[in-house]
Amino acid sequence: MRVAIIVFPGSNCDRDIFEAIKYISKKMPKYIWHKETNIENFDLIIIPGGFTFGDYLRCGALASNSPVIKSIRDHASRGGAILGICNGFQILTETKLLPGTLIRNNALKFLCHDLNVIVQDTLPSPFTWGFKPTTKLNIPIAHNEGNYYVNGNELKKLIFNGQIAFKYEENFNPNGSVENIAGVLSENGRILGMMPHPERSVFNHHNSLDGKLFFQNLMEQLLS
Amino acid sequence: MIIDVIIDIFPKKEVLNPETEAVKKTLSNLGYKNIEELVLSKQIKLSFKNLNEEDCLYQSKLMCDQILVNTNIQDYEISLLKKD
Repeated sequence: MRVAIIVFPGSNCDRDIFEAIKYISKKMPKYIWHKETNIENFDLIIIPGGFTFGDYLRCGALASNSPVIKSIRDHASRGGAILGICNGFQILTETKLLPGTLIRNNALKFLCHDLNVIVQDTLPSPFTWGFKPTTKLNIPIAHNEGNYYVNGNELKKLIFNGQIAFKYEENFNPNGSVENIAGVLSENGRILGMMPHPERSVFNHHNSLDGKLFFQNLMEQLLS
Repeated sequence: MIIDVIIDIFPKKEVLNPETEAVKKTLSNLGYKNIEELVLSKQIKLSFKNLNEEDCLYQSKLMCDQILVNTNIQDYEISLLKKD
């Protein structure tokens, strides 16, 4: 299992992801600096959370034009798996590898707390298959721009294709996301963007171990 | 010759903008009750050298579509100011 973690100026969850993947897979992931243009083949590329380039212009906008993005696009076009968490999700929408946009939380507050996300019935995807739809995962969020927006037609398409991976619980939508969306998949199911941070629910000192379940399942699915 | 281009970027009408709503509400609390619409926009000014007007506009549009504007949620207008 070869995992790459992309590091931009302002990424701040890269080491959390590194420790989580090392602990769960028993293998060392590799950091890839955003200026690298020729990266080897990996089973999974992770774009971690943070505030890349200070969130200047729009969250993820400047990072989505970094040199490494070409290699990430190549990896995607080969059907490679990509996981973007929080700011990583914002970067994936800015690159248009995932549909939609993440705008300011509707209450205009930075949110940082645990919550449940519900696994949806999706198209075939290593990120969700292995979980029974409606499974609840307790994973923390920490974001200011996590309010997922797509227009009505695109939302219909996401629902029809089974591209919604995770939803917040009904009545516990923290940020105003359309359809309570917490995570979306690409049309081929190989790219996932999610606002919650699974790397923050992996170790015994965390409040939950559901992030560990998420990564264990992902690795089993990718290796099967 | 220097040519200045002004790019105004504003949220699309159909996207509910929480910042706009908050500012509007605060103005209303201050007693300004007759505001029908409030638009919070972002302005970018570019000064080009050694390019004609047509190329300035063309390059500005390319920049907007490539990075400056997220057309899922934003619209933009480009206007030109000429200087000596």
